[in-house]
Amino acid sequence: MLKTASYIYIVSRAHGLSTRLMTLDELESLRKATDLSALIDLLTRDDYVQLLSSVERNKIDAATLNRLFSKVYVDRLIYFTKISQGRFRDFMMGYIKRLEIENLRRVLRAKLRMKEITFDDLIPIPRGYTTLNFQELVNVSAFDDISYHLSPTIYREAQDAMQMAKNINNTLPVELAVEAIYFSKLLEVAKKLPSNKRILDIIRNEYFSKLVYYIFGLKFLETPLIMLERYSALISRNLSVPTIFINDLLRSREDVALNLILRSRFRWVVNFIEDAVERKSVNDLYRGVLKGFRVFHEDISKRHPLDASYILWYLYSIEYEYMNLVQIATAKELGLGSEDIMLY
Amino acid sequence: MSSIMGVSASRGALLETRRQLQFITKSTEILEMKRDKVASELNKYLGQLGRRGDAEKKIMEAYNKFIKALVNVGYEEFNTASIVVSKMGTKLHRHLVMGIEEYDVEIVDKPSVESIPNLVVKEVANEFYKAFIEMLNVAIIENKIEALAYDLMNTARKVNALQKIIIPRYQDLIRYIEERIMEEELSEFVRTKFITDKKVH
Repeated sequence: MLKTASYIYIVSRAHGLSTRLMTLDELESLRKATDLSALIDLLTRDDYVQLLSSVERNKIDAATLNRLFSKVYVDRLIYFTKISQGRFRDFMMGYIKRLEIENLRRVLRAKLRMKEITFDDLIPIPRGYTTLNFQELVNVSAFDDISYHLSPTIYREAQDAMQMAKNINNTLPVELAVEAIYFSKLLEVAKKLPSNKRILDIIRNEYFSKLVYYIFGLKFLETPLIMLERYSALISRNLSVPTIFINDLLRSREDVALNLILRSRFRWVVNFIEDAVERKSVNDLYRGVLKGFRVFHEDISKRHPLDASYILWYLYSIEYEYMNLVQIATAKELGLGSEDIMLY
Repeated sequence: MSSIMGVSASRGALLETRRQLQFITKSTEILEMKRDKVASELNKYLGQLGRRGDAEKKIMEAYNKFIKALVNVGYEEFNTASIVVSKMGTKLHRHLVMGIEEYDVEIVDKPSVESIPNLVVKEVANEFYKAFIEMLNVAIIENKIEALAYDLMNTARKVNALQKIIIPRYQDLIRYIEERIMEEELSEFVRTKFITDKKVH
């Protein structure tokens, strides 16, 4: 299939912008920084230097750095969305919704306990890049009122989960529902992209890695998986697998579930979560799926640098750089050594 | 009429002192019983003192997990995920058992750890809550041990004082009053006999 100008343009821009990301060597040197102050000295990339210069040096702690890293991450995503054109812009508009999901999570969690939340507590998403009215959402007086604000958006299907969240006093059912809807819509727009096979495959694998974290995590914590069972049809549609596969994963014991995954096309994840499953550690599971997915998508993108999947590699790399930096800054503040920091 | 410890050597005083000694002896027996009971209670709890080590170990494990989780998910996610947890409410109950103050802590409102939507944070919160409950139980036991040990020390001191000082002193007093009464009776008898003899002759 002949590649369009917008296709070539966006892949080229992804290549160009990827040079602004930190290399593994740079991250390694940050990892080996003796303390937070040394870490700040080593943050020499323009994006970070500009933001760091706006904060008084002696007032910088890990929490401040986390916020700065988050800002760089958001700015990079928004910038890439702005420069994308045609169907890629539609795709980016779908992809960037993960920011509004993060904001929605924050609002849901605060409103469940009726804790105060202000607009400043949310990720600043420019108007036109979000379908949710967060100005209104932060001011709702009850948890149920969020449902009203979801109804005109793509997340209206998550309204059912609101009642369940209220009943079990946990926002997780809504968060899972919103995430399922997000991936469903992202896959829809991704299907319209040229040469979309690999993109669809990577997105499905990302969703599956998240699902693995939820399924095994809930099993480890002995929490009923009913909140996921409700969406098994949507999940299976997203992943393009039979519903029975999802149901079996949800209902089987951990070791059996691992075997099921091993027999599926998502077998790559097993190597990364085996130890966590044996130790029943949610923390290790979280790291395992993130690391696993990083290895998985990097492997595809490196083999196909001129493919549209490279865009996804760039987008995920932004996210992984953010997560690595958060990890390093937090660890340095807590006085952990470089051996305690395992980069994704 | 002579007196000792402010008690005059009369029959009335003898009866009163005997009554007092009887009361003190009975009290000593009761205190001895309390001492034995407190000692056995203390022995029962002393075995549980080792739980502190386990509780501290659990807290350290939870803390290490917390550090790892915080490093992994970052401050922002940790804060937003933990915002859903309700505050814990406790009630302190004070009991008096055999005059010993004991305290129990009742958890009136459990912190809603199960509400945490982030599974990594939830895992850490679960660990911390379990370790906290264990530490709370250890603190309650340690408090009981402290109160029992203090009371045991006091009771043993009282029993010793009663057995070694007060009771012997009362016994001496009774003996002294008895002797004085006998002496007085004897001198009365001699005097009476002397007067009778004089009248007869």
